[in-house]
Amino acid sequence: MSSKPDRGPRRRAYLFDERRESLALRRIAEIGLLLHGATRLDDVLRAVLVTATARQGAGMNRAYLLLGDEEGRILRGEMAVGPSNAEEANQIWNALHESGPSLTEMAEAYRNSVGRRDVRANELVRRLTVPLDDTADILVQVYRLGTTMVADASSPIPSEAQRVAAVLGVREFAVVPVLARKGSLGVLVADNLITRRAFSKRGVELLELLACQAGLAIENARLQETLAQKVDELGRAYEALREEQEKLVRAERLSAVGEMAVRVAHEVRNPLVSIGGFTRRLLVEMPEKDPRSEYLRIIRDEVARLEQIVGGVLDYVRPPVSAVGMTDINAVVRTSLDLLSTQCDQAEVKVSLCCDETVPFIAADEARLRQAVLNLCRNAIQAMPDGGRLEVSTLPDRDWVLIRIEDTGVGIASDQIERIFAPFYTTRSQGTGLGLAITSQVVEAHGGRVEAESERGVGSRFTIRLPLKEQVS
Amino acid sequence: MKKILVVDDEAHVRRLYTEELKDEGYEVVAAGTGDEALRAFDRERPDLVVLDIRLPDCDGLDVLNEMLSRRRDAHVVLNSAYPAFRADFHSWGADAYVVKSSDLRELKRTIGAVLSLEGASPGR
Repeated sequence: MSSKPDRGPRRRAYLFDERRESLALRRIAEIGLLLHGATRLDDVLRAVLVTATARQGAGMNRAYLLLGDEEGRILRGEMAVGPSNAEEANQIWNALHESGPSLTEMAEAYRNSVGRRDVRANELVRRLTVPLDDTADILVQVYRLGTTMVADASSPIPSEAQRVAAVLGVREFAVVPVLARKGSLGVLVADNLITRRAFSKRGVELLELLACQAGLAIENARLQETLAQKVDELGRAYEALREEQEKLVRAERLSAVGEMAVRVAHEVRNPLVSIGGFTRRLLVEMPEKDPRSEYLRIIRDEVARLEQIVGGVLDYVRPPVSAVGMTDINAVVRTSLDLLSTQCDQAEVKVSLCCDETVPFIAADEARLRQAVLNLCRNAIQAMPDGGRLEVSTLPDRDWVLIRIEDTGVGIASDQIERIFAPFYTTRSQGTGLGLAITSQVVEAHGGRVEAESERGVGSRFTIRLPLKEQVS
Repeated sequence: MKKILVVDDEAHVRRLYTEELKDEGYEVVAAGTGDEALRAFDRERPDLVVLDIRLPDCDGLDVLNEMLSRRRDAHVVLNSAYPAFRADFHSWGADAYVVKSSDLRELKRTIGAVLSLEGASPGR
């Protein structure tokens, strides 16, 4: 009978312990779910810190997470969570009180309510950063030994804890290792700045369990990030490969077309010289009024046109770049426009030139580059049969030099713009269709590219983009 | 009278050049291959050579080098349908480069200019 009064409280204590135990277990399970649900490293870190500070979690006031760097040189302060004073603490805790009972809901509520309030804690965590060879520091010791240390307010602050105590402004704090499969990843530091509550054994244990879960989650997130990076790299490599392949196919097609064109051009050129040349001789001897002189003039002019086509073909196959020297791009542009001045006047095209004098000289084949600019300018003039404005400018753009040729001409239809650089493509009845192909070939041989933008009825803009670094092939 | 050696593999072109240049008041000899060209070069000692680069038996640029090695003061105007060769430094030993055309005015102008400079810069 006498044992009855004794059994009551003991039993209650036992039940109380059991309930606490099951609550803790539920929390840990929930922490696990929350952590492993986050795949981005940042989200994982935040979830770890929120659960360390949440009432439903380990219930610390502030928590700091430091991770060892890949080279194993420093323990770097990554992220922190926690209010900087009692007022802020009340605001946050009130907001969290409104949230649902689960950790997940809490983490969500925390994310929404805190905003930038834990700036101060994040400042502190950065200041906690410590070199890993500083073995006298408590953080490094925990990291290296993989065991928890608690700085206790009841005893004088030990020397190894003094730095951290000074940074955090508290006498009492706990440091637990964040462990993963391959050893220590970092440390989790927690303090009770606001409530000044002492660390209970159970609280520290919960922190340890949390850190253990955190370690696995961080390791997973890192693996996932590495994986995502690799996938991304692979994607880019694949994309580059595809582009190269397309280029190769295009180049092959071009070279096949080119070879045939050159053979034909070569066979045709000499007869053309004879036909045209003798026609000219006949014309000289024929009286102007003879009606047959008209026929001869037609032959002469047609031959000249054919010679131009043949010349274009033979020009297209010449070596991409041969005479490379330091070239003044502005001078190239100026001479090109000089050469076209008569043509511009005849076509009633107003020319405006805007050279950026800071454009540096680049390694280039001046004559070929001039040809590229000439081709684009000539095209622009031809796109303005009723006159218009031709604007040519040069400008530096980081590692590039740009030559921009803009016209107010007829423009190019969007479905054609892709094809304009293909050899023998032309929208005009006259011309070889090689001008733009040669231009892009020359520019590509300089390691650059030609960009085309156009709007029907408004005009076109061609940009030659040349690299500053020597890349001539 | 200045003597010009025309080197071209095409008979009609040789004939056209010969007639046109004779009309300009030059004495003209012609050759159809590199081999013929070098023999005519030694035999006729022309004041100037109009040289096509594509020849049936050899590369015109080799002919150019051979001519220059035989006579440092030889004047050569390269005449080819390939504008590409203009940028080839092997071509730079020649006095000038004219792209082949049925319109011979540029060629004639160039020949005139090279020959009129001859006195001004002896020994190249």
